[in-house]
Amino acid sequence: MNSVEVLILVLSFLVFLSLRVPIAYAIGLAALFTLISAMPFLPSVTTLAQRMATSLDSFTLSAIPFFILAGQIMNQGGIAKRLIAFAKAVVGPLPGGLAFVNIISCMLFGAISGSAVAAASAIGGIMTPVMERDGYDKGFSAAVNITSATTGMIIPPSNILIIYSLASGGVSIAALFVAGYVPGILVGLALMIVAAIYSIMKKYPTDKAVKFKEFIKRLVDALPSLLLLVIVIGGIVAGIFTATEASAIAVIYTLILGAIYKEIGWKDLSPIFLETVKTSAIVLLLIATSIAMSWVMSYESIPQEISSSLLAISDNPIVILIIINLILLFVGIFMDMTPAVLIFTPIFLPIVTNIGIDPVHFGIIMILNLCIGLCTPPVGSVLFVGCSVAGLSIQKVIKPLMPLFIVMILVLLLITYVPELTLWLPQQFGL
Amino acid sequence: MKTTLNKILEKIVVALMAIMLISVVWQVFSRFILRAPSTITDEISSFSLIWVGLLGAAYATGQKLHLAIDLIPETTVAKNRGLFEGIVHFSVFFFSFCVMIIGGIRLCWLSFVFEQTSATLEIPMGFIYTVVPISGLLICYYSITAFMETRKMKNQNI
Repeated sequence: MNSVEVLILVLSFLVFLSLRVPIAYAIGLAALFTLISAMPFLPSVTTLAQRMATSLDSFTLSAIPFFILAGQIMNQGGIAKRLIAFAKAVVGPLPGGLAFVNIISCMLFGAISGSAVAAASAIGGIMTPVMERDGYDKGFSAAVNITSATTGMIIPPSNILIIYSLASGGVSIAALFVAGYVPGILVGLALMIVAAIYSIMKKYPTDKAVKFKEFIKRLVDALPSLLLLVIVIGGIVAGIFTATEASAIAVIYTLILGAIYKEIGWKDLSPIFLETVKTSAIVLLLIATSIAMSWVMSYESIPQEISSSLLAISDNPIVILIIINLILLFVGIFMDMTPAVLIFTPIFLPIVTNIGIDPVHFGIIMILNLCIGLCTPPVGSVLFVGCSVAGLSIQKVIKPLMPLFIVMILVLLLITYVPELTLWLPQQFGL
Repeated sequence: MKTTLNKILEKIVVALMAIMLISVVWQVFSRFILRAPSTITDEISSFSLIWVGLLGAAYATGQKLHLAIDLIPETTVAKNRGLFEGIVHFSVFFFSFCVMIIGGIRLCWLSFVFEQTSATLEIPMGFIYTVVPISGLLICYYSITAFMETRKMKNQNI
């Protein structure tokens, strides 16, 4: 490794980023300048072009636009309101009931749509006015919505887990998906505890329990949406189909559901597809330039250098994991999740497997960690969406976010140091 | 011209997305219902993804959808908005010109010279990779027009 080239890489990335160059291009430009300093111009640009094109030449990656498409269809297909009605029947009468409804709906919707941003906007859009009407503090409602929306990234199906599988060189997607359940639900429960304490202190009103007949009706309404999770995850875990095939089936299923609910017709398809391409293209360009960057880093043997300097500090797994978690928390504040996973997985994964940590376990640690960054300025996409649907400035949400951040970090520590929480469930399925 | 170009691009990416979806659904259908797994759907969907990804990225650049970070305070930027936006458009132009156009053309040319073809469809990879310079050209066009627009705004302000 040449320290001059590392300096070029880090500095050029930071300079372009602070000049407000879009992140995907800032990553590509940093890769370009670093490579030019080590190689003649023509081979450099050809290699980068090749890395960008071949990075997208992947059947597995096709799952990403499909899950995004399924999420778009669900947004318009009346699925969010049915999930909320069902969650209200289950947890409405508990103290902090509406906050619980928000959290559970986010977990379900985030899981089904695989997108934290979609969950924050779909559920937050419906829940914020309802919570405000019952006297809930608006900043608190938004904070609950924002943090619980991120659980959808860990609870499967999840696009970011597919990206981790790609970055790690083929860790089983089925194992990652099943491993996400317990940690994702733990985050949801931890957020509920905070919400309950807050609501009891503020004496927020609770819902009356719904009649049994009404409960059954709402369950039946929500069932088709919940069944999608069973088909997608069940199919992948049982080895009936791949993640990509499951994502295409999810699209067809949500389309049929939207048509039955009469919320989607033929003429809606083209705009929904275009919206999907827009969202997917942002992620896909990030993937293309991040993989090019990752290649440049390994060409400069940067991962090996970082690995040996980290292991020189300590070879104690507890210490290494603390250091990696702190680095990732810092990275998550400044970097979007996709490039963070693609760039840092090849650096950290060899280190942690070296000290005996399961790649599935590390994947969940990494995503859980970066989820916290989704809720912090200046790059927290979920924070921005959550604030804008609630019509609040970021400053108003930061204070109620603090206790929720603290419990998320506590859960992260728990997941990091108790591997069984992550690995027990996949082992039961023999994954 | 920009709106016509956008319209055409929109039609193409939506069509590619539909092709991708149909090919994967066909893959499942042919395996479970016809019991004769299709061998070509894998490549069709992967190649469509390259095209959707890069053409979509060019389209998103034209719509200014790619995420950026506000590290410099808004007040500083507001004073020199023309300068800051100019730097952004030039940086995007520089990357796509060097890597996607020059690098992309050379990539296509080398793939033709070494007669690289895909495994099952046996399409020359050079054809697949033409999307790299095409998207590069589109991104350059969009960043030049965006640059011109900021110029125009600046002149109007004076």
